Amino acid sequence: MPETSPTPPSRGLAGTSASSSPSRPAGVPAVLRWLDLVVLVIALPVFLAAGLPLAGYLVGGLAWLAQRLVQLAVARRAKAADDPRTIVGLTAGSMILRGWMVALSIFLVGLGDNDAGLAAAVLVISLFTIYFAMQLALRPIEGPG
Amino acid sequence: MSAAPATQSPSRNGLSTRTKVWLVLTGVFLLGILLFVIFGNAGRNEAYQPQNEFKLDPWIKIKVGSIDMSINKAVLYLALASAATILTLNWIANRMQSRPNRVQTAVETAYTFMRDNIAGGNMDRRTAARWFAFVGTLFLFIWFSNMIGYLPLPTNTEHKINIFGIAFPAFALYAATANISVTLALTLVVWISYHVEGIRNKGLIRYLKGWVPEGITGFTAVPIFAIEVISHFVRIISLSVRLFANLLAGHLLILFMGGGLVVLLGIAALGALTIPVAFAFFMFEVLLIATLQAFIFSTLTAIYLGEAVAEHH
Repeated sequence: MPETSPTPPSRGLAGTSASSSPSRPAGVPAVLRWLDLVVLVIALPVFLAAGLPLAGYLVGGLAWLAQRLVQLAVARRAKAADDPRTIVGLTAGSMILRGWMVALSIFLVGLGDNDAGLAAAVLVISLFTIYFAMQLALRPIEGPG
Repeated sequence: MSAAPATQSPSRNGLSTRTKVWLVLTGVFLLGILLFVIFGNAGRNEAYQPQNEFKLDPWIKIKVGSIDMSINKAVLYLALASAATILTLNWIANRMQSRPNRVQTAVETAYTFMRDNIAGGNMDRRTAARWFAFVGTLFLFIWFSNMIGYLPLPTNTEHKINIFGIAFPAFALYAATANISVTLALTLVVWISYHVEGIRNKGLIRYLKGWVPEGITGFTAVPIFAIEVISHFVRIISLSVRLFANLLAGHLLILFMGGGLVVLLGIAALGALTIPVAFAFFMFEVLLIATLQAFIFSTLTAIYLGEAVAEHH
């Protein structure tokens, strides 16, 4: 065993990366970035064909769309801000508020019709799983913001 | 208060940040009271058993003698974490370029961090070169496992969702590392590895002698040696329980704040107060705990390995 510190893989260039600036991010297909919304559209025929409560789809879908719009608006504002505290506050506050908004919508529709509430919850959780998985996968490619 | 100038300075609309925070908290609290007045208390839900969220029902029963090797939720999460680790790193390794893109830069930063901080910072050069791959893989595997644990996946076979007449498992949050068997297995691999490395490096007698600090001889060395023996066995508990308990506690907090408490107590209005807390916990777990616990586990592994081959205790 050679008495050297571990070296990066032969194809890797860890030693050079610090000095060279990152090149442009590899193109991410828009469909991946917005995959949750694609699934939201696909879910409509599923709801119709399976006879699932449409109220659940409407409330869950609208709540999801609304929170995505809030997220985009807040992200734009955070990007424009200079103060790190403002950025963290906006991001954390928006995340809690958006979750609360969606949960409250599900709760309210569930009070009227239990099945609709369940359908809305399942739809929103499915969309969240897809959105969060895509965020994890695309974050290094797209970078923060 | 020292933070007063920053937090109390009025913003453009005339309200200070502190006032805004208090207004939001008061609003949420009042909403909770309003919902409680409207919907009241449905009574304690005896049917809901929160502990079942972590129960491992066998999906495919496999029994070898007295050993239960059934495929269950935990096995699926382990397979997902393994696949994510292997596929992601192979994919990235095959796409390395001389002019790195963002992914490559992020991976190279992680690589340098694992090599220089986790492995290199706690082991001599020779040991680091030999064990870096193991320590790095541990870090990434635990990190992937922790992160997958925050994705709601349809793995709850106790509760089903009926779509097209097919009963799909309900969504659940679960992590393989929130299971003591998984963390214990990882710990045992580490524990055996560092002893083997120590014995291989020094020989059995010198390795055991190394457990007693230099300069201590005679009868005094006996209790010191006994304490050291105990400390090595305690490492099995501390290393495995630390990771398991942190992940389990995080998942329990999210579960209870995200709705478990509401269902259990039958007080729907409570949700208005607990849901924001659930999201705060979720962010805290994803942004800090998942990575921190992977870092602690792999760093301690590197420290134990480094200690096992070190000349002096």
